[in-house]
Amino acid sequence: MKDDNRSSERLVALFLFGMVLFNPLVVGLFDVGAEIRLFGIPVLFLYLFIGWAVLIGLIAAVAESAPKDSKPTSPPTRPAD
Amino acid sequence: MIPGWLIAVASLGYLTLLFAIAYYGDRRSDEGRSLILNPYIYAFSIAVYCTAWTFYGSVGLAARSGVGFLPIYLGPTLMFAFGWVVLRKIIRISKVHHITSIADFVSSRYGKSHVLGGLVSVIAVIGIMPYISLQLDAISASFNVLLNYPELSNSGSAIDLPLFGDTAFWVAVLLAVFSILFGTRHIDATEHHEGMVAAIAFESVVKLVAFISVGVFVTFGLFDGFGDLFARAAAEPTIAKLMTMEVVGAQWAPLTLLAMLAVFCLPRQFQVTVVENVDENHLNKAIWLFPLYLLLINIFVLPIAFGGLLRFPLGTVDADTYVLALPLAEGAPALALFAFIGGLSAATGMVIVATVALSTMICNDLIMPVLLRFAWLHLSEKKDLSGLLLAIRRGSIGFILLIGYLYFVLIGESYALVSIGLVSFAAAAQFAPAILAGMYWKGASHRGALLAISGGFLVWAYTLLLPSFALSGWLPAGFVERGAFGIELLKPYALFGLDGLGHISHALFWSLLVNVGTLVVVSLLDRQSMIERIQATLFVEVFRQGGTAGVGANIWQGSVSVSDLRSMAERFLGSERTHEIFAEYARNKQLDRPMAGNASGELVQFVERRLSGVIGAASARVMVASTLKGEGVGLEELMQILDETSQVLEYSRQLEQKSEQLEHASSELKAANERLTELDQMKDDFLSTVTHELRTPLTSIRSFSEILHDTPDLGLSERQHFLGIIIRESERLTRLINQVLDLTKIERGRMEWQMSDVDLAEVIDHAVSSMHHLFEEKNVTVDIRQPETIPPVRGDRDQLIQLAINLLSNAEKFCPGGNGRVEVALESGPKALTVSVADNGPGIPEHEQENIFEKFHQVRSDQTGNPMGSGLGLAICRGIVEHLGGRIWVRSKPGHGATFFFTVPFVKQ
Repeated sequence: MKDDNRSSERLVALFLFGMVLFNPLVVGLFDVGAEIRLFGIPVLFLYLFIGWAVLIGLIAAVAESAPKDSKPTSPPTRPAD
Repeated sequence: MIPGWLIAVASLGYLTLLFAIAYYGDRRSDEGRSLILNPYIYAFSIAVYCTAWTFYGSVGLAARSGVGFLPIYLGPTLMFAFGWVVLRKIIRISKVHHITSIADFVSSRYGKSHVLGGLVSVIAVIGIMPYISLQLDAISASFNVLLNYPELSNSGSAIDLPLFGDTAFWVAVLLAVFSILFGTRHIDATEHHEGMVAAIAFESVVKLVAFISVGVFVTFGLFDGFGDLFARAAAEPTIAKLMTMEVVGAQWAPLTLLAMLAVFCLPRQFQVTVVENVDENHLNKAIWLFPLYLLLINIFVLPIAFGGLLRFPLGTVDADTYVLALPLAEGAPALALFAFIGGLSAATGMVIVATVALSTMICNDLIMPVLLRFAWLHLSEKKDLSGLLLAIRRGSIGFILLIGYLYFVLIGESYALVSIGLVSFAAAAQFAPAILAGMYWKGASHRGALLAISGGFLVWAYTLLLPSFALSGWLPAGFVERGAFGIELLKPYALFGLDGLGHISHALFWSLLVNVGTLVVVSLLDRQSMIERIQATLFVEVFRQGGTAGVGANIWQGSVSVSDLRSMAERFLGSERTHEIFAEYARNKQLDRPMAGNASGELVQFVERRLSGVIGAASARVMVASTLKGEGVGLEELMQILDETSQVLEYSRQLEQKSEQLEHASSELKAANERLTELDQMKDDFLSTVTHELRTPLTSIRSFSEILHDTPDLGLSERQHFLGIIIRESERLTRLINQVLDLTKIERGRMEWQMSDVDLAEVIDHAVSSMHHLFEEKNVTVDIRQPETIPPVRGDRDQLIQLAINLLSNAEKFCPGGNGRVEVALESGPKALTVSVADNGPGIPEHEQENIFEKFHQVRSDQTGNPMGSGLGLAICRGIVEHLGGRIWVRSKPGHGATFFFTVPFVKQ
């Protein structure tokens, strides 16, 4: 259960990180207009999508390293006929 | 331009494929080889979140407000990061309690309340209805665009032509058939609709591939990649504005919050995420796969929107149809058809799941309770009610789609796609406070939840639903512009003067304020009933109860015979299913004889839970209670059992704690005992040494006194000599006793220390001068080396003098007579002053250096073998130095003298 809790804590931390990442104030920092583009893409778009991808990657890393709950959680939907 | 028959054939062909997949999924499930038993299908089925609204509406919204569409997808990403904590608990609770829908969840948590379940169902139907009609609208409009491009590319007048109205109608009929076939195959609503889930997952793949295909076509076919597209878009001032946050405005944060709540409160999301979940572990993958899906389907939204804006002159083509219009305008009709199928997937997926979810609610939480309550006698005559249940569910599916169709015909056209979707989101969000509080706060009460949801819903209706009626001409337009009854403060889009937020944020703020406020205040003032307290505990502590057995295993204490229970179950479940359930119970309990006589409380509980999977928790409770004889329900008794159980748990926990404490205490005692034995030994040693040391001078005093006493004719000089010895020995005795007393005082902390700032150089001078005659007598030279200025140290002046005298007399004692030399040096360190006293005596053997500061440790003279001191001086020195926070040590090479060092910390600045 200990590792399980650790994963929960990390995911909550990622949730808070996401709140910061997509906070209007922080997003505003990258709102630099259409003329400034990186790799041809406006900085605002680049920030939002890359930030999003990074967040998903981190969630995946935590979720995949979490231990599986070994207890069968779903009863068989019906006995085999 | 694509011929109508081709579109029709493609659509029908696609829906047939869907039927085939669903049928195959159900067959596999019947064979026990489930198709959906993997996390990827689960994640794809959750992607039913992306409806036609995503498929067409996102591009339309992006064409108006740039990245303003993103919060709808960022919110779910954040919520799924939180999923481990919140969603996993919802799923666990729902599995344990056989929850069939979101209405069932809320009703079950707040004391299995009929009223609450009914209220949630009604709100869900009213709130989701526009959303369903939106899907029909999208299918019809996209069909229209495909058929008539470029003439009728500006959708909006579809219903003027009867044919297109018919398109939506026939779509509604087809979807109703699908939902009925695959959504109501089994009577048990907690059973997984495997065929339906498989079809939904397939639809999610189709819409993703279709949307990305259009995106790639626009970005790399019409333009030369992202760089080219954005560069050309940035050159147009109107489009360049869409690349800033300016067009998004204050909507960003409220929309994110709204989407976070909607992703688990929308009935269809609750259905696929919670009810259709086969394995909790699938959530591990879904919490990142589903956000990844959202990311992928959104990558090309902005390119398509900008491509459309660049390609079509402003206002000629509705931005909501760019996904179709762009391929059509650029001569790629096959791609347009594929995109249409993608949009069809998105729309049908949503409609199917939503109608199945809503029909379960309508049947279990709205119609059944009413039938059971008001027409109970009539129903009880029926042998088998399972047919009735299925009929009600199928009827409600037809009813929902019919209402959705009517809404589309009468109202739907007045809104852009995106606003309708958000109106539904805001309705679903009203369930969030009751659900979240219900899972983490035992105090949240039935009345609190009831009033909170009602209040939130009323505010929602006033600020979003009624204005939409007004805009459709059902209510006077003045209602929106001047407020109800012409009162400015009651303007539905600027309630109490709150303006400039956007309609959705405005409604969300007021409705959640009322909702959460009511829930908290009423719950705090309320008293919960027994059943509420039980359910609250079972929900909040679901992870502590470890599975289905739970505390409430013996809830039903009344007597009911097994055969009565069986016949009651048969009426709802049918005889075959009832037989299976009783057999399953017997298998789980490993009973080898058929059950007879009175049913155990556990069996009744088991049957109640199974029954609640069919008719909902509230109805199941009423049904079971009605079969129990006498005071069967026994809530008071139950509460007592619950209390007793938790008390026993509490006692055992306390016992465990106490035994831990005892163990700890006994090990402490053992350590203390060892220490005491050691101290006792030390005390014995000390006493024997002290008495030995005292005896030596006493013996000589006594023997010389006896000589003086016994021989009165002793010569004067001899008499003087003996008396001198007696005096010296008495002095030695006094000194020894003083030292013992000092040492004891220091060790026991009884010494009275007069701490002050002391100039150590002056102390050393004082000590040296007080021993002046001793040094002269033995012809020992004393050198003092010290820096010009020495900061004061913190200490007791008298004790420091004592310390210096002890060390000096020690040095003097060991110095060879005649050419003895003692060097005293002071040296400032960073934190402390170091004093060294060096002599040129015989030195101290290495093995002695460690023990020299111990009590009564005496260095014996090499020449005489006699001890040369009391053995207490250095022990006292150590006591003083250590009390002052310093250190004392010795360095010596035998034959080259010894140097004693000690440090005293400076006064702290």
